[in-house]
Amino acid sequence: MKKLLQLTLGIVTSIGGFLEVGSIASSAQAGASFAYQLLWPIVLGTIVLIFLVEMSGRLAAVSKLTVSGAMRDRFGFDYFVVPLVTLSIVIYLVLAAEIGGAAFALQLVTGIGYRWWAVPVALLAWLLLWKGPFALVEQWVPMIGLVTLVFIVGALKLGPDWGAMVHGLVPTRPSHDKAHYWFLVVNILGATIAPYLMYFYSSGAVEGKWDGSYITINRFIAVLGMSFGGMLAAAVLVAAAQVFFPAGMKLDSYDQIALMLTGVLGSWGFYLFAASLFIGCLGAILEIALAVAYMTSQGLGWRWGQDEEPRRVPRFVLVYTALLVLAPWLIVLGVSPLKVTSLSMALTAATLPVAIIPFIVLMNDPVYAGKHTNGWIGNVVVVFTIVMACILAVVTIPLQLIGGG
Amino acid sequence: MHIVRDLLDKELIDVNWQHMGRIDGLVMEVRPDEQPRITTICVGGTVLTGRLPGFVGRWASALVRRFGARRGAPFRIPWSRVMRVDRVIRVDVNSDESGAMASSQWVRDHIIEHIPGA
Repeated sequence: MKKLLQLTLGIVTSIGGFLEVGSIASSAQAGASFAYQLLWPIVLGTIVLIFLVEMSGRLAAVSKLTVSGAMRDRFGFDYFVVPLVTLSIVIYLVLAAEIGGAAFALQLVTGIGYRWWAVPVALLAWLLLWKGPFALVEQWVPMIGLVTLVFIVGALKLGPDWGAMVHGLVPTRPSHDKAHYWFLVVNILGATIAPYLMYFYSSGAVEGKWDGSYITINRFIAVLGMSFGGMLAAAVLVAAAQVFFPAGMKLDSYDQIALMLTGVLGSWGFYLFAASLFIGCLGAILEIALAVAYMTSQGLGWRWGQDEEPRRVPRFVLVYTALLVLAPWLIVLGVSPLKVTSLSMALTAATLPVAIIPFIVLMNDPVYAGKHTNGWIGNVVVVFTIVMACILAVVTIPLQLIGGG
Repeated sequence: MHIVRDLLDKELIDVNWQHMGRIDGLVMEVRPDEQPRITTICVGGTVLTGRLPGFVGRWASALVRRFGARRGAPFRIPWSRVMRVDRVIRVDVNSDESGAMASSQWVRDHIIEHIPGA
């Protein structure tokens, strides 16, 4: 039973993959521009993420090492520094985007402009990390996160076209706006398969003192947790397809996205959308700030742990504190949150290869995975993901220029 | 034992089972007519940044020399203090009292302790 409770770790990881501002924005844009045609990247992202998250948890359970720790161990400092530096740069934009999303949710409810909310949002996130144990992030975020189920209620009440949805599960070529179509594919995949999810999840497993007896439960957590998120992202797309696509609306600001559920759920729809956006983004902010602190500390050999007193792990605390001090300013300066979001998602896609390649080595090395090394299905998925990640990395910047905004 | 595979970059655990860093560098002694042997484990400082290639390494090392603990000199552990070599390396050192955690302690005393609620 205690082990089953770790499902919350899967759900909070999943929120960071599917319900943060990048996923909500790209799913909504996809639904508005191409109806159900872009369901397939969400499904593809979910499957890939299930595999990668499962591997991260298995690695942690068998070796008691996190993904970042094992990367430094196995590949040395010269390699480790590449994902560390690229992630740190990209994550600054991702974090700014999430802060923008949470700030925008507050603007929706209060009418006070989002620029005023960026610093309070970052401060709230910092306070939760400074004062709260890991359980706060791991258990309370998913619990409050259940509000996001409103997307499924909304999507169902809108009476979706199930036949068209099934068609959307299979990749098809776009009939119009080719560049925008592929731009959204890359954004959806970039928003879903984020490396920080793996660093966070494996660190959570080590903080929860997982051992070999968690191998099976880890599989359930990965499948259920990621499917939960994938379903919600699909619901956002379906709702947007019902509401915006027939009207021929192209979403270019968050104000429009916010109206997604208003038609079918009235003012409740509006407030629940704001609540979902807020909790999804806040969850992602906590997860990202922790992930970077985990990665830096584990790779450089600093003491770390969200359950430790701050004065016992000073450099770990310093990393997330510095990040949250620096991140809100882009939003305060008035940079468009949606622009930051799509740029950060595209850049996340560009950094995927260096983050994923270690998996194929680590998960086949008995020193790290014990007798639980990857089977052939797992290896096929990782190789496929690496190839896909390399393609995404090459096309993402050009697509951002010609297909974005 | 392979020096690079089994030692370099591995985690160090001190005598009280506390994490105390990673093996960032190793010093070897080569004498005529003898097997080369490892004499010292280095933790932190310019030993780590110096492993980065080209100007990146030089630039990072300059930063560490300017701002790092011990002006960028690594913390050194004589090989005789090594207690056990496994996936982690345990050494007979009390990290909190030996200066190994100097930068951690600096951050704690100068930043973390000044934050309200610490």
